[in-house]
Parts: sequence; structure tokens; C-alpha cells
Amino acid sequence: MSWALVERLRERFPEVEPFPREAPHEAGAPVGRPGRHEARGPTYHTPGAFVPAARLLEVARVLRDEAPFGLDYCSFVTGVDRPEQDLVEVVYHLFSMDERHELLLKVRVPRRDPRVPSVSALWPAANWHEREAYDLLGVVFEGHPDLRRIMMTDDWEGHPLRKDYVYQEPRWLVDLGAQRQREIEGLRLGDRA
Amino acid sequence: MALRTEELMLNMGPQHPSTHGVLRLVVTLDGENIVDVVPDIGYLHSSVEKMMEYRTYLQNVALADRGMDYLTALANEEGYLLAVERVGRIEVPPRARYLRTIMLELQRLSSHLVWLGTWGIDLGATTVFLYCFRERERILDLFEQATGGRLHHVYFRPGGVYEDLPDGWTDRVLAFCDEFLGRVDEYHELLTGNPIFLARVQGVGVLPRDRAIAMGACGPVARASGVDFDVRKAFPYEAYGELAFDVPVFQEGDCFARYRVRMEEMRQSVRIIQQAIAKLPDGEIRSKVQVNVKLPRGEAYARTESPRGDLGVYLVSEGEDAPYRVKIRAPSFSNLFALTEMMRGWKVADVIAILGSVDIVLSDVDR
Repeated sequence: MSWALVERLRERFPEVEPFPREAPHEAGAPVGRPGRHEARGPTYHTPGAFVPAARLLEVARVLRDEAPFGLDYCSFVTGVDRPEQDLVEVVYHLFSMDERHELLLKVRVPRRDPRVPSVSALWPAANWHEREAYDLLGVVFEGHPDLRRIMMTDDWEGHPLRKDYVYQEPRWLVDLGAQRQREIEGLRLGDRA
Repeated sequence: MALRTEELMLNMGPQHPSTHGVLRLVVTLDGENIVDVVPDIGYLHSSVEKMMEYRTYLQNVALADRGMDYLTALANEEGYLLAVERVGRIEVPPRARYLRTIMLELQRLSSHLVWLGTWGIDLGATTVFLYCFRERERILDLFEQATGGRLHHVYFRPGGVYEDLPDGWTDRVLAFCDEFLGRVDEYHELLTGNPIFLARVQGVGVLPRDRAIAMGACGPVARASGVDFDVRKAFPYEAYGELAFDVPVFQEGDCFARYRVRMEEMRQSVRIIQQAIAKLPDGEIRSKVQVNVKLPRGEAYARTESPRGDLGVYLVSEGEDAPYRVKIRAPSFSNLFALTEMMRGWKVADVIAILGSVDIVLSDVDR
């Protein structure tokens, strides 16, 4: 149903690249055999398209306002970190409450400096989702009204959902733990036993 | 001469009992009137999405169960597994689909009962809490008999459910259902027949339809604002496509409409459970899926209707035995964002009434 929508989008914007369509699945094929799928490309079960970052706002406006799209509902905005391709994919899920069709948009941005225009003016619902993607993946949404961290504390360093993120206890917590340990040892609980 | 007024900043939470968890609301007041509300979240953030990348698909069932909304553990499992089964093209046998449906609807009842009881306490109607928790206790007992867990079940598995039902369980569920419909009428008498309750919720916290859609509201909150959308009807999963039920929609968009949507949903859930038990097929409860299953490369976005709204899981698989990336689209997160819109212009005493009517769970918001 919505794959037709992707085609309509490409007719409108030739630079939009639809997700590769899945090959028809052979019924009853065993699932989960290791190593069997590695050569094949990913299967996209939800229809959608890649959009260049420069055209995102234009595409988004058409998708929201014009027939046959009418995608008035933004379910989520998130990102997928892909260090081996040096990319961050910013993912948008759009949905139409009246037409009941859905669309995924993916914007590929360089990993070192991921920047996309904010769509929160078009879909206010994207506001917090963009803040979350900024917080956890470091994607900068240009033109966002309030781009602050939302989950982590304001002074947090790094972006936890990046693949190369290594969790380290903050310095003050390490020091506090060491101090508590010394205090416990000072009680000489082991001697009494 | 006009009286000069000054704005006052009021900090509610994060340890305020009426915020139902650790939520901080920074409320700007002009006298009694709410000028602005800024929710501050993240106190319960546990980065479930990151943890899922380091665990196998089977282990993640338990993580989805515990790491997200603690009142709807089975609904979380369902959301996660629907995405896994879509990417892995895993079939679920008919009996398992019906078992899941029954469990999900029981879960909806128990979740709505907690909401109704606690909201009643927020509004000063303490009695209804006791009634609700009496019934909820029986649902938890039923869960315990079937799944072994009362709050955290880990009952669903990729391709089915863990175990078949114990003897006589469906009869106990049906007996409970018959009794429960009368209980819903009792709640109605307690609350809908209470003028103080009505005065506090009727016409309060209105969210118009277009704003509800724009702000990303979902589930009962959106349906109370006239959005006729229920994932169970629009994109049927499990056995919902084979069962008859109505989706209650109200146009008013106020707290009272949100209350009526959930009350009606409880009746419909009972209807679904009764039908599902009547139609419950025999046969396998689980298709053959390896314990350490590796999914093919691919990605899918699966949506379910959790008791709180549109719970979606966006799953990316790179052919490993653990997901490459999981994004949980939490219904409470989206509904909480719409809260500011509902509260602006109302009185400070309405904060609690409106917040309670949205029915958020903070571990779902923060994940």
C-alpha cells in the first residue's frame, strides 16, 4: 500500500532514492541459519526512501501538506550509527491518520558532523524526538527551538547510542567509591569475625 | 486601575507523589493560571535501547519486559517481538496468537485499573482505588497462574509463547470477565455519578483534534480528542483481525473524555477476551525457532496498541544474534509532550487532574 506512495514521492522528487524492494520470500524457508544472509542486502519491511539532507524540508512539507501523501503524524525521529560507512542515518517515521499509510524517511549524514534541518516546525511532535536523537546520537537539528539534552544530564559527555561509545564512571563517582571503600576498610570488619 | 501581577515559577517533583514516578514539572503561574509547563524527564533513563544491542534476541524479551513500562510488561514484549518476527519472518501458530491476545487484553485491564485507581486518589476519590486494586489483584493472580509472574512475565517468545495454559484457567478468566463487567458499572456509579469528580474533569484540559495529531498524542488520549485510530483495528496483529470489538472515540478532548475512553476500552477488552477464549484453537504454541536465533539483515517498524497508546519498535538487524539498533517509540513519551498543550490556560489545581488523565508511566517515558 505504501510502497506505491514511495513511487509517487520519487515521481515528485527524482533525487529521492526508494529503499530496495524485498525479493518475494520463499515460503517455509528456515529462519536463523547463521551465515546464510550475510551476502544479501538488508530487507526493508517498512516502506520508505532515502532523502538528501538538503532537500529534507522541502520533501517533508510536500509529504505533510499535499495529496496523496497527507502524512500529518510524526511517530518518531531517531538515528542509526553506522561507523563502518562513516554515516549516521537519521530516521523519520510518518503516518497519515486519515489515509492510514506510513512512510519511513532516511537521511544520511556524515558521522563526524551530523547535521539535518529540524522538522519540528512542521510536526511539533518531532521536538522531543529530535532532542533525544541529539542527546543519544549527537545529531544536530538545525533550527530546532530548544536543542538540549533530554535524557542525560546537561553536563554529560558523549552520545551513548554511538557504537564507539564507552561508558566510563564520572570522576566524582570513582573518587566517592574509593573513599567509601577506605572507610569500610577502616572499620576492620574482617578482624572481628 | 489594573492590578499588576507577577509570574511565579513553581517546581513540582521529581519526588511529588502525584506525578506517578520521577517527573519534574516546571510550572509558570500567573496567580492561579498556568502560563506554561515544561516537563523535565530523564530521571529513569536506563538506556534500554543500548542494552538491547548487547543481548541476544531471546534475552531482549526479558529486557523489553522490565526495561520499559512496568505496568504493561506483556505489551512491551509484544511490541518488541512483533518487530523481531517481522524481520525474521517468524510464523506464530494460531493458538499462540490467541493466547497472546488474551494476555494483552488482560494486561490492558490491569493497566487501566491502576490508572483509574491512582487518578481517583489524585482527585480525592480514594475509594475507587481500593475497588480497582481488588480487581487488579485477581488479574495478577490469573497472570501468575499462567505465566509464573505477576508484574514481569517474560511469557512471549519469538514465534509463540513460553507455556500452554494451566487446567481450568480459561474458566477462571471467563468467571472473572462476567464479574468484571458489573464492576465497571460500579466504578461508573462511584465516579461518573459524583458531582465533585465531574466538576474537576469535565471540560478541563481540552486537546483539540488537530493539536492532538500535531503533538503526536496517541492511544486513549488521541481517541478522546476525536482521532479515530487504534492500531488493533488499523493494522491488526495477533488475533485482533478475527475478533469483533469497537474503538471508543469521543470528540470533547477533555479529561472526562479520556476517562470515558478508557472505561469503554475496559468493556471492549472483556469482549475481546471472551471471544478469544471461545475461539481459542488447539495446536502448537510455539514455532521452531533456535534459542540463539540470528535474524537476516533487514529492518522493520512494528506498531502495537499498548494500554497507553501507540507503542512502536523500530528494529535494525545486521544478521547477528543481537539487534544492531532498536528504537522504542514509547507512547507515554509522545503523550507527555502533548501535556503542555493541554495544561496552558487552566488553573494550578487542574495540573494533577490533567496529568493523571494522560496516564503516563515514567519508565516508559525515559526507557
